[in-house]
Amino acid sequence: MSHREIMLPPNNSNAPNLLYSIFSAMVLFPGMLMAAQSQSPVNWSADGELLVTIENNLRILRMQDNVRISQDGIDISGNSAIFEYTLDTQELLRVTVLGTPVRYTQASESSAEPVTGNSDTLIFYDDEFTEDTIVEMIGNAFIKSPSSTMNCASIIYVTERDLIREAVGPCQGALAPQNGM
Amino acid sequence: MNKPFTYLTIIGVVGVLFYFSLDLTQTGAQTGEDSAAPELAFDGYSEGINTVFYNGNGDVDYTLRANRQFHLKDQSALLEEPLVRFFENGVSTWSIVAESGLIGGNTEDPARLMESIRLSGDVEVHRLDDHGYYTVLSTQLLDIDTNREIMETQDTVHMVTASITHAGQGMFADLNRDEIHFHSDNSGHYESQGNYAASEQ
Repeated sequence: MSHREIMLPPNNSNAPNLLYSIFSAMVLFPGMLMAAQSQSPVNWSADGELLVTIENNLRILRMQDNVRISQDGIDISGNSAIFEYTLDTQELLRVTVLGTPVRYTQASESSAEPVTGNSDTLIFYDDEFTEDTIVEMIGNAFIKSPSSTMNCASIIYVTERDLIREAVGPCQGALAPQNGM
Repeated sequence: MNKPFTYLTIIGVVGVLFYFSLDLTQTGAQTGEDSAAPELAFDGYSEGINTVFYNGNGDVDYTLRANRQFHLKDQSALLEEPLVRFFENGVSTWSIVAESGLIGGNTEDPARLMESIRLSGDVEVHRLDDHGYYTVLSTQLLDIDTNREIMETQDTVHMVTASITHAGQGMFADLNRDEIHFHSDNSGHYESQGNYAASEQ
């Protein structure tokens, strides 16, 4: 899976807003959202079957039907989910959620309004180097934060920083009214 | 007194007597059923059993220990505090303990009598992996097919590993393939071992 920087068409009227939105998210709101702390406990529930297997030196948990996952202020719901753990350290490597759509909610410390989003697939994991919690929204990705909204083919979002790190277009976005735009 | 009234009176009295006699008979039968304590007729008894089962290659397939065993007349056997241990290439893989067990109690096929064990009361299944981590499954009732090395229950099952705590309703597990299926109502929790170690300090 490859990602690239947002490339907006030159005549796209949303381009300035979108770039400003990303810039403001990067500069104005770092660390203001309730952080999903690295290695924080993760809870899950599923109405349907849950299968535990060992594959490629990983312990895999596959669950389905009304799957709900939470970690600190983050809540994710979808139709099915796959949890991957290392066998040698028993650490959670990655969670992949599928849904129609997958719904994402993150409580915000700076605003009563949470960050929300949805996509066809959502993957979350800890960044190997920064240990930030990364959320990858793939397919019809949409995210709405107190500062902006954004629609893309896919979005990579850093939860602790309210930062859209990468996005694959075509994209559309808008700033929230409180930013004076 | 006229005759029709007499006949009606006689029929009524007979009916009432018949009704109460029937009721008394049924009550007696029920009482008889209730008073019949579930006696288990056994024709053999042993203490401290330790049985080793071999596969076709002559390797140890599984072992069965119990503090006491009662051999029942229907060819099944009751076990007290059984321990079942499965082996693979001479190494113990899965170990299962319970308060009690019944061998052959849930199969009518004599050829499969020894392949079917129903464990009950604080059943615990332990698995030690190659990295030294335990997986423990616990439930109150568990059926084991020792030949196919599968186990199954409709009861709630709890699973605990070094970092995962999970509960689900009903379970099927294939011990050879290290696969565990929880049927429904699943909920669980992951906590990093790093966090756990830190909180312990």
